[in-house]
Amino acid sequence: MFEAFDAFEVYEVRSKYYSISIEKSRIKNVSEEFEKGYGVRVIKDGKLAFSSATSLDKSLVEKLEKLVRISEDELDSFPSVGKRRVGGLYDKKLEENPLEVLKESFETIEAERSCEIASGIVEIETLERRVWNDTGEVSEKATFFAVMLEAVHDKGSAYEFDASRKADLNLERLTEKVCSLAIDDSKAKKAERRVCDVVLSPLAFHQLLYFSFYPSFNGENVVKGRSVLNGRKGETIIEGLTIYDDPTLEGKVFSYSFDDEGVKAERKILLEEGVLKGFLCDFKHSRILGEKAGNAFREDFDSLPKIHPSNIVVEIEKGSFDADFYVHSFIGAHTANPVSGDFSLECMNAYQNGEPVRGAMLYGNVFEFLKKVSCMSKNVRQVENTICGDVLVENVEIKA
Amino acid sequence: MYYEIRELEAKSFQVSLENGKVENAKYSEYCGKSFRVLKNGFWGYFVGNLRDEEGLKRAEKLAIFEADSEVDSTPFEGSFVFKQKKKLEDISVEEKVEFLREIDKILRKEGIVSRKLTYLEVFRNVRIRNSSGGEVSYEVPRCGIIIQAYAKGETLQFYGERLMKVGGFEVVDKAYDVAENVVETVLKLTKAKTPPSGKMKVVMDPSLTGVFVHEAFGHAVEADHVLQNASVLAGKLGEKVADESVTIYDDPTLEEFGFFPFDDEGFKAERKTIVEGGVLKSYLHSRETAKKLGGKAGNGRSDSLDFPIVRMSNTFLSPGDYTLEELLEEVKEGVILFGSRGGETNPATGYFHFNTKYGYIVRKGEIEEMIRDVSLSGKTLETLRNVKVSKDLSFDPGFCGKAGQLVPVADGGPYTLVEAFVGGE
Repeated sequence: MFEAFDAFEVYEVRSKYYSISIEKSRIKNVSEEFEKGYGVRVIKDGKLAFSSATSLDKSLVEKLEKLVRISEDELDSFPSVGKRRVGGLYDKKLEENPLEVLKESFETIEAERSCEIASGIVEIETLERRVWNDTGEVSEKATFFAVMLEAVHDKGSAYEFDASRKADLNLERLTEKVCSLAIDDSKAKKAERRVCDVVLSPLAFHQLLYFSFYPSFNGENVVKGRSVLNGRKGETIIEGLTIYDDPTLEGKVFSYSFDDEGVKAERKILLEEGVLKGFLCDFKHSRILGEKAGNAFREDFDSLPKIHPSNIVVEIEKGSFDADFYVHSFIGAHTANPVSGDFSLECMNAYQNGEPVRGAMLYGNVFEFLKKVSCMSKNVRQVENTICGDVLVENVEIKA
Repeated sequence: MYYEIRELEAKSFQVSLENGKVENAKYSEYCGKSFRVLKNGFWGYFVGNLRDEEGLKRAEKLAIFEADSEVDSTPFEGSFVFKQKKKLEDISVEEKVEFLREIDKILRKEGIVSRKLTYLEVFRNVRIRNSSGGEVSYEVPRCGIIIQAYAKGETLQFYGERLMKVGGFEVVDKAYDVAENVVETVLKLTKAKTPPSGKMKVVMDPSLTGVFVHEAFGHAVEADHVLQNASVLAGKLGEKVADESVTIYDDPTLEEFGFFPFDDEGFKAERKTIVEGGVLKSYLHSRETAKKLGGKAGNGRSDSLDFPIVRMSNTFLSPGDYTLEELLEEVKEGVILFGSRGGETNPATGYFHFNTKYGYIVRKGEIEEMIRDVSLSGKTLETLRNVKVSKDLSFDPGFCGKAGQLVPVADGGPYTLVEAFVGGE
């Protein structure tokens, strides 16, 4: 089919997706969605082109021929495909009885809620990925189970979510937590301005890192002059902080046996005791930077592979601590500056001296802010890409 | 039993010019069908390429609970094709790339360390039928360019603007001017200072006003939020919720990025008056929320073939009588802020928080030094109680996210003077 080109790569997805929506504590709909699609990349004379469709046919090849004529995206080959054994990515129960799991989930949420669940969604997906190119073929079947709840009580509100690869989410705890946050928020007073130690929940810490810190480790940003870490390998960036990207962890939400270019999953150290060790790369940028590939992600079959973190494990000295100020989540975390790392964020569901407060804001630059991190709690949690505990940050100015 | 069948054919083309190199060239085609059945007040929803009868059966089988959903099932008929002035199909990919190269020349300036231009076009062909005999179909093209530049001076900064609308290649005619502005702004940003903080007088430019109206007000009038009791505007119809000078519309018939002739529930699009003279006039509705709250449907939208939910289209604050100079004269010590890097609002509490792209300190009505990474926050209703509005009006395109679905929208407005909390070091 692809004889006209020097090399080809096909990315195929088949997905079965089930969800229920909750509105005002009632279940509103059940959805079932089947999807199949292909994303094809080809190389001709060292130039790359991409096209996607819901079926593989001649018209797709014609489009690729058109694009490869104008492309200046340089690549001379696709990576050798390979697969690592990573356990816990698939749960038969989720694939075979999704409706039953959704029904049970709703019943648990309904039984445990202590205030209104204004909206919510419970999702189950079985995703089959297959990548094949001139070097071979790899495939993987995985399941996902995710819940998002938004609770409202009087003028108070809160949201929480959790995800897993198995039908094992603790929905009692999640429902209880989101409701108690919303009830507390309804009694919130105005925050007071002061300088003090602050604890960020794993959710708040993830929101901060995801939008203002991780982009600087993206190999494409580094190559294109959009990262402040460019040219600083070997330098100490944030003393004492170790973070690594690890898609090989058993059963984690962003684990995989191969990435979306078919590259075997591997752990990558980004910062080791504060020293910059490496960047996240897809195949193309791994060649340019001399780094490991394996962090190519596609949002769907119609998206180009882009560099993205898998599971980021944060390692800081562990201990127990108390602080005057606790932040559960941020409002507007995506508005942080992904290039400079500057942020100004409003705290949501925050507590000052144990009392719920509103209107508190944190400002700063993430590279400076992380230098004030001194300790992390022992019990860790995964929030999207980030695996960490509650994080203690010393001497932070709270504005109100 | 009520049902809908929606068929979607989408074709898109995208190409970037990054630091002068053609990258990420991409064609995509998508073809699919969704089936929605309302039975015993409960929705069963199926997406998959099945024949009508089978698909409907499958959706009906998913309606396994009982609930209280009901719909305004008014049928509409019609078909619509958007007329492009410069047909996208008539321009070759080579010409589109050449156009990007011309724009790129403008960005090649000293101090600019990285450049990114993205050209995109999308054709959306939709056909929707329902059980009450409605059948609508339409084809709408969208075209646009995103221009971004990174500059290094005292700090590494980036700045970008988007020019996107419904229509053909004529949409990107103004890209040359936009590129000039991007270069000028990003170079200045590297020398900009961090802003002051505190409650102060703020002049918002049309783009930021648009985001404010969209985020802080628009989401709160989406009737699903109202029904969930998660809106600060629930139960306030007919009440004064803002200063008399505030009139807000949502208008899908304007040829901006959020245009549609029929919504994704097959309901005919029309302008909705949300606020008139400061009084809350109506919420935005889907077929379901319209039936429940007694409003007019026409704002049910969906990303691809997802379940349609209540969404905005082109939302804007209507212009007033002031000139920008008159607004500035009222500012003894404050800021003027431009554009938005994004925002978030809690519709339940009315708290909003945006980050603006840049701004300037204003002293005694004069625009002085530039500031960056400025955030703006406050409470929607308090902020709109005291506002002055200029004569201007312009729109900014974007993609609005809600419940994991992205849809094209435009936000607009004039320059406005408000008092709000500005954040910075």
